[in-house]
Amino acid sequence: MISVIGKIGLDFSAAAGSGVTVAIVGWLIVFAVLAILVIVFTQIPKLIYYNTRKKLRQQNKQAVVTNDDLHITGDVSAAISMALYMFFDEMHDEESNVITIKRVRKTYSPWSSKIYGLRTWPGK
Amino acid sequence: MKKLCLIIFAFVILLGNFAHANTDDDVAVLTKGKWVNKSDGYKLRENSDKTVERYKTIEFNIDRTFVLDSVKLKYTGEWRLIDNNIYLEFSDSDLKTKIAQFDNDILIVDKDIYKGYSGAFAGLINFYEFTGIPNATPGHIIMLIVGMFFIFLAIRYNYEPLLLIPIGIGIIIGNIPFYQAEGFNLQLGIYEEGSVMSYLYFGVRQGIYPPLIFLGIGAMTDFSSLISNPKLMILGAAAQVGIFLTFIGALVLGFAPAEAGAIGIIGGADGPTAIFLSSKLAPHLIGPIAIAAYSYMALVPIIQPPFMRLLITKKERLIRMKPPRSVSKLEKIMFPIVGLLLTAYISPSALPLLGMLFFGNLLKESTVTKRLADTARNSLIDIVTILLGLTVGASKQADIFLTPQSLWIFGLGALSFIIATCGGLLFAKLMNVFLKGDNKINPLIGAAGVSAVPDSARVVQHEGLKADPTNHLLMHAMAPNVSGVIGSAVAAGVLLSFLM
Repeated sequence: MISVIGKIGLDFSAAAGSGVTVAIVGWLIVFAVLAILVIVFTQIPKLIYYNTRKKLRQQNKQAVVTNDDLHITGDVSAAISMALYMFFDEMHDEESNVITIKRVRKTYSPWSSKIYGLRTWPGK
Repeated sequence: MKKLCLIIFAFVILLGNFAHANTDDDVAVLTKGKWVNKSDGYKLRENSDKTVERYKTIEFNIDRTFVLDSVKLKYTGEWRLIDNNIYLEFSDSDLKTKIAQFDNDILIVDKDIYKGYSGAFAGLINFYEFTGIPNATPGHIIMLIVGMFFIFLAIRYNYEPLLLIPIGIGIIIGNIPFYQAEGFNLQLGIYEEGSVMSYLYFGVRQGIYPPLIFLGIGAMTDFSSLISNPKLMILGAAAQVGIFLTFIGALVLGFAPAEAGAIGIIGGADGPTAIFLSSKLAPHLIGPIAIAAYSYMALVPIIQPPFMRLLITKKERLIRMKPPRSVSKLEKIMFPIVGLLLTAYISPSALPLLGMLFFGNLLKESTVTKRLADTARNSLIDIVTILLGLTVGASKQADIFLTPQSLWIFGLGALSFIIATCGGLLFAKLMNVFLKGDNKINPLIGAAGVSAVPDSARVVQHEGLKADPTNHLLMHAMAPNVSGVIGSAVAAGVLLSFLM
């Protein structure tokens, strides 16, 4: 270390050799990793929907099945989810309208009974 | 109040004067109170060039024993008074006998002048020396102001308050001046072995906290926008150009390769990644690098928009993108597993970060580990954020942080951020050359490739709405934004394997 840096001095030779190599190769590796992810995740839906696509083709007897036939957009699914949520959330409005009063009975407990007070002799 | 202070002061002075009142009996004078010396030349800590003044005391007892109390050690022995010369014979046989000259009210030992004070006054001096006041330096004051400024920014302007408040209070804690000297450990400061703060800082030094933060990030991130339009992932790679160009810039400025790598990662706009990499490559630079990374992340809404307007034409800003398709549960579950395998096999050095990121995401997407996912994205990440912010702040002690190096790191960090933003924007424009029809992308989302989740995506949304108030780009921008997190972690792994 600390060759740095009280004075400003530019040393291009330090970067010229391995520095530039590390930078270029490093960036290419990052690119490669994400490019592979792109390729894989572009292909995965095709594999997942292979059977569906096949069925659609057989039903319609058409050669081309577009992605629109397979996928719905996020906003459409959001609208459907919202509708379902509203439906289930409001279901409680349909009530029987029968109002009942239930009588609450307390079960008997000897612990609060006056006949077992301290002024009574325990039974034999 | 003033009068009371004056009375106390006068009392203390009187106590001191009593101690060296002239008497005929030198022994009586010698054994009354303590003899105090203040001299310079004590190193603040090991490997520090800075020296400070410290007190030493000698106490002579009637039974002819003495105690010499210096910063580091206590020495004991016996003394003899012969013709105004005091012979100090140390109990430690390795130490030679010292001869001190005694002249009624002063004592000279090895050219150090000791003055006689009462025991109470010597105690007060000792107490004063251990307070913050005599140990404070202008650097401490500057850092206290910096800490308070961070807290102000967080509370007044809501800039990254979850980070800036712990960091700000950490800076204040780390810059409370206290008694320090080489070989003397009060176990208070973050750099003192055995202190509570040093134990907490262990998680930063050893790179433990960043992967835990990544676990939480994984558990709270929805990758569906990225899965629905995978080509946007490339923007996350394009923006990492900032890391590598800054790496070259730092090398040119004379930083060592490992330091240059740690500085370059600031352009990844990812605090935990920056701390992780600098803890491995340049632990002595963690402080400035972390501050630069988090500061620039907080300043994303200020740094990015000018470059977005400069590089993207009005027409391009109006481009509407296709709404993302909905993603099936199977795809969401496959993403963390396949993503981990692919990225970690190519860049295993980034495994602690990527492993935890994808693990956290699997906890979320599997839907059968809701409790674990909730803990990871709530309690765990909160606890680690507190510890990370506090200790990173406390590590910025004035004498370590206020150096010309730090200024260069801030400069390079800003440059790194700008290059990363421009890299993402220009690559998005380039992609549009090859894309047709409604597959074209709005180049503004390239700026989100710098990571800084979710701030840069929010900035993209904001700029998009300025151009067209009905064009919402947030969901589209989240794709390069989260791929930027993966890209910066991979870049950190690559730099680690090249430079460590």
